[in-house]
Amino acid sequence: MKQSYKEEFYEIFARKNSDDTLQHIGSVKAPGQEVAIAHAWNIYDEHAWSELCIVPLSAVVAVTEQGKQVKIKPI
Amino acid sequence: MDQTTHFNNSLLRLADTKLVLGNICIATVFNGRSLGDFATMLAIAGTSLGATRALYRLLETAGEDYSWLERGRDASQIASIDVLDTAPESWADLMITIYLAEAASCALTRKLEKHADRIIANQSKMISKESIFHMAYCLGWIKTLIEYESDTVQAVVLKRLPSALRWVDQCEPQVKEQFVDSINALLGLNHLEMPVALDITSQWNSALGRAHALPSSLWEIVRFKDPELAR
Repeated sequence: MKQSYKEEFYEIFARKNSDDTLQHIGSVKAPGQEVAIAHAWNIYDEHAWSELCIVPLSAVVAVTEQGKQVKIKPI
Repeated sequence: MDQTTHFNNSLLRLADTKLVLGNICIATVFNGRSLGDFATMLAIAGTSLGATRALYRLLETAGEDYSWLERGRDASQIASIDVLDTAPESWADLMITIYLAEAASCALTRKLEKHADRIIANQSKMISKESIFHMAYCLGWIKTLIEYESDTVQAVVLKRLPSALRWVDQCEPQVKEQFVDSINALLGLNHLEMPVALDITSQWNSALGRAHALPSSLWEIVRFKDPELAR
């Protein structure tokens, strides 16, 4: 049976060239940053991106009414 | 052994290590934990087999017969690192096996990056770049696995590392230094001391960089080796 590891979602952003805006293109789930980078590089390889970056979902700060809690869902 | 033969043997050991590594990744891809692992394992396979073909082409320009290299040899003529000989028994074992094979081959390509022949130097740079990326992926997994199964990880490192050390021992001192640098990251994570390299026995074949023929179970999974398939 496969062991279950603690994994985290990472959101993937990319742009094709410097004129483009950085856009959200998807997400990956991985046990750490190094693995997430490899997954992002190999899954979202439909373009020769000029920039590709990942952000841990846990680093995303929700903007809400004061005192209100919101759980950010992976996209 | 003259310098050209020695150099060609090094290139062949590198090419065959990539050949076997690529095929192991294909055979083990479904052990991946997610789509991301499948994609990454197949990427390692693709780039490894690409490196094999490119290195065979370099050997062809150095006078070797390409069709013999690709489809004319049997298991006793394959020059891959023997770290890959035993089938990985767990995901941790697979990640460590790939890491060691990549670290050893990358240590050699880093040296070849300074080769006077521009084509060899550029090809080596490309292979090193890919290997470093693969190693980062494996090390990322190893860091996670240590948290859950440190005993398994340590046992696998101690089982496989001595034969990798023997493989780099046959190369120039800079290659071994480069390899040891890569391995320190792995040993540091595991709080392990550097083990002693396996002995070079009387069966050791210095041209192939191994003592015995490829095990038949491993040769079985190496694809595209039969001349009939090329027709």
